[in-house]
Amino acid sequence: MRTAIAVLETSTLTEAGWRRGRNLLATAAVVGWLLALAGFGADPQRFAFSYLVAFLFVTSLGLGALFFVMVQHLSGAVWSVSLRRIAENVMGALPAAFVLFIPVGFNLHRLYEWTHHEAVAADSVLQGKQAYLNVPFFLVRGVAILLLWALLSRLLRTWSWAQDQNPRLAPPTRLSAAGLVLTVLTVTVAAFDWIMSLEPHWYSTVFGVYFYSGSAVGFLAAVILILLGLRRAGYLVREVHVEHYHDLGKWLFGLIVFWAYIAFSQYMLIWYANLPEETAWFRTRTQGAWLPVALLLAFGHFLAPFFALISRASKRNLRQLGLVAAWVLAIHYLDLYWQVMPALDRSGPRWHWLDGATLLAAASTVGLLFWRQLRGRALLPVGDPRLVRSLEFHNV
Amino acid sequence: MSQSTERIGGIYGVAAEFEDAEELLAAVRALRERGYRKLDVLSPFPVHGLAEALGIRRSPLGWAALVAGVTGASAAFLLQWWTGAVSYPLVVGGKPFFAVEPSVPVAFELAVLLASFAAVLGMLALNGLPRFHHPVFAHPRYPAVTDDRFVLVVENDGERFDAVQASEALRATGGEHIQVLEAE
Amino acid sequence: MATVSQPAESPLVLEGVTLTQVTSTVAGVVERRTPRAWWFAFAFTGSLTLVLLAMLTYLVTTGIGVWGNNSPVGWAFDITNFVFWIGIGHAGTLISAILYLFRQRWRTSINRFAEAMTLFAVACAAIFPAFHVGRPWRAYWLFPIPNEWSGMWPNFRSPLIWDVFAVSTYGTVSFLFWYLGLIPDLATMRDRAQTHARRVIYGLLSLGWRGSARHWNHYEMAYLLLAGLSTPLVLSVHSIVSFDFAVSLLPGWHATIFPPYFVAGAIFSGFAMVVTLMVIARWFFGLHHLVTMKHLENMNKVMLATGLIVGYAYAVEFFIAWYSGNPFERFAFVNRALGPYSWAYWTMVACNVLAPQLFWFRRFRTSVPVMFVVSLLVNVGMWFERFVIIVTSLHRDFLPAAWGMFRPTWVDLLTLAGSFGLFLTLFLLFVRFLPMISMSEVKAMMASREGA
Repeated sequence: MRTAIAVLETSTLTEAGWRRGRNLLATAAVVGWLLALAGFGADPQRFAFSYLVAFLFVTSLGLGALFFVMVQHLSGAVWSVSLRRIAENVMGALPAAFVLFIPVGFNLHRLYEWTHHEAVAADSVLQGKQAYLNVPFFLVRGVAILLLWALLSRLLRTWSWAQDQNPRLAPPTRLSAAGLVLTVLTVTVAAFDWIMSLEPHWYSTVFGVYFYSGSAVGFLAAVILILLGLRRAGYLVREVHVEHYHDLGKWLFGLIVFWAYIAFSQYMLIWYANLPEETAWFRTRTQGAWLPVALLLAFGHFLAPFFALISRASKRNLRQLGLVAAWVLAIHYLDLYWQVMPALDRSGPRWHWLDGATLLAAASTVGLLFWRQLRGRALLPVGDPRLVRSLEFHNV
Repeated sequence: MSQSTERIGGIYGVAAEFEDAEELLAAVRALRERGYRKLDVLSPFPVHGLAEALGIRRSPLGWAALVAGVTGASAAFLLQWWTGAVSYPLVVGGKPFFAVEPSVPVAFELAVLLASFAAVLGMLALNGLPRFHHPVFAHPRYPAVTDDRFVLVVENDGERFDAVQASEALRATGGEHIQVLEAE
Repeated sequence: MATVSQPAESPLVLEGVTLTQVTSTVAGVVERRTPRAWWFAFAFTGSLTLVLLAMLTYLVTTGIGVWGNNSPVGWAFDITNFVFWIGIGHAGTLISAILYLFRQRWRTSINRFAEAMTLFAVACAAIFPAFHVGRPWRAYWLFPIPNEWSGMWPNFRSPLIWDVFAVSTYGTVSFLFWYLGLIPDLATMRDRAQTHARRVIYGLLSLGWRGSARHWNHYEMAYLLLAGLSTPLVLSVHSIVSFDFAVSLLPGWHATIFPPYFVAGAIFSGFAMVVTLMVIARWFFGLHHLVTMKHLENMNKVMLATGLIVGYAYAVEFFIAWYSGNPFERFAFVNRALGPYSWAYWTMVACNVLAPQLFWFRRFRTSVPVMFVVSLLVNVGMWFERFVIIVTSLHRDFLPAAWGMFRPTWVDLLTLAGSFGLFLTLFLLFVRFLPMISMSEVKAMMASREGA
């Protein structure tokens, strides 16, 4: 345990540093929300859509973190122990989604066609879906899902914090197994509800997996950036070393390939069958000015990071890994933008300052919750008996 | 030892048996410190850390596989475009003669196929296999190498090689069954 | 990318086993006199293989009509068996490649066994589409090689041609992977050989492997590359098999979730088959100290996970069939659950979704009888899954006037039984003549444990 205690002293943020970070985030939050509010006054429709993308983006990162932490517990992974706390802190910010959902809930009419009575009355297909696509049930589902995610993230974090005091605590394997099952189901419902039902005629059975795989990609990119940021500030320099980054790079690489596999399968099957009610979704998103965005996704969400990460050296070069992670995180946002925005802007992307303002508001809110957990607390799970082995971990 | 150097073919090297991996690694390090550069180890499984100790560089097979994979994918696209759109254009199911979407699966498979062959055949080529005769097979303890023993070979690296000195060096590091191996 | 770090309570190789004991245990199985029980088993599976040959001969000489396939059910047992066997083949590559990349060291004792299973399953699978083409002597037309109709090429826009490429690539790469892993062990067999014939045969097969450190360096890289290549390959193969169905317009076949759902199902069925065979081989050849309860338990966990994924896919398909608002989609699924083949549907659900739930409990995960029964149930359930997907979607399509039923003929049933004969015969030959556990890998794992 000697190593662990030595680590503890050097890997907690200084109070001054923590305050600086908090002030920065708080300022960003105030500016972001004021701008968003102003935008809501100016163009509520645009606000609703921009905000939905921002909400999905920050929520997806938390979901990716929840997935990552549960998988680490289930596989009993050693390599990731020294960076698990940072992942847990991203996961720990997931309850923010509960609050961030409120503006979505109040803007349903601006977002979802199926909330319009006159549209439903004129459309027999939408009438058939009313048992599922109706406002009260939609809100109940949303609240229940967000509650479940918040509960899971709290339980896992509580366990981890308790482990700091009591290294003998058994890993939460059962909680992670049950949690993973429930999360997969609820993420599917969330993807169907929040994104798929924007185009209420369209359906794709794999859409939940598509959203989840994108979330995991986004999280991996985000956690690499957070760790590199802490490293630049002088934290977790020896504790999260090149071997850990190498493995994070492998995870990012693998998840990018998995995302591409799901995205391609979904697209190709719909392209091939060419059913009108299915191709409409892709048709909108590959026509006009949306086509460059779709091509950029194929290139930027798959080809570019694939070749950028394929060699061993590139995953071990922190500068290159950081650049790829930043690129991938931005492309993950674009992926969600490309899924959501064509429901509003059929002809092509109409970039709007509200996109940035809502993203700033949502991200800084999540950031504040993330940051709160760093105060005075070790940046790595100091109580974990596997920590020493994780520090000594070496790729073959 | 001079009489064996005069034989046709000369000496391949001197080999000794070691019982466990730790001892072996120490011996390799000691011999390299004494200036022996051309060392080889025969072992029943890849010994962790041995490649570094012997100064063996990382295998370049990955690049061979990458080149083969890109070749395979390009060839597949070319094949599908030429057969479908140039040589034998036939409308099936209202699909275009050539499109990227339905060409991806075959391109992927050929990329994997060629890359796999590159990896395996490249491994054999770089290792000079198959090769059914080798001087080390003459070592009396050789058969145990594929069971649980290790044989360290100090290979003949030219005119200045002295088999007696090499044998002594091996003995000093704890090797047993020291034997001079004749070249083929 | 994770290392199993369970405490020493359930080791991967039991304590006190030495390196040379690993050699003698594994190689001993091959070197011993052929046990009488092996001959009995061989006689039985060999006869079944002869049944397969007889059925195929009958099919070729008489015509495809000896099978029960007929309008509207043009694909039935043949394609069901094809997908079933290909699925079985997925566990081998999964264990060899994916678990290798994830540094799951428990794979070491079982990967060779599972890889061999992959090859034999792929061989069984390939029979069905090859004979279903009707004129198997023209099957080479499937490949883009110039033929007597100069200028005629395969239709690359058809998923059936993708299948040809996927399955043949998979068979080839799996063979390379398996053979690559065998090379060092074949050298061990060569060096232990007591007869000249054995020495020559194993010597030729081992390509003169001598275990040089420089060779190991390239060897390990080649192995890593094949693992890296096989991982997406294994995903692609069953995805492409699923494309055979999913690119169509048929309700029940056209679903975007098919690729990952088929892959999970394939892994699920493959692991079930590994457990079935491993439980028998472990008991028969006394491999308890190399294939420990830990291996079996981990395989059961994988079965639980993939079984849940398959259950998820059933549920999502059903929900989207309703959600789509498409009456044909809705009917296809209602017909599955309540139509004339509902018995097959509920067999599938019971075997694939309900049975593996037992594995939530350690007591059942670590009970050999329970896992044996569950693995058999999963084998049955996964066969029925393919039957349900193929037959129920075809037998009642858009026009009620064109509805019909499929009933297998005795040729269908005996061909399926015969394919099991071929699979098991190849398996028996494998365990008789080749080391069924990778000795060099087990030794490397033991050595690294001592070092740690």
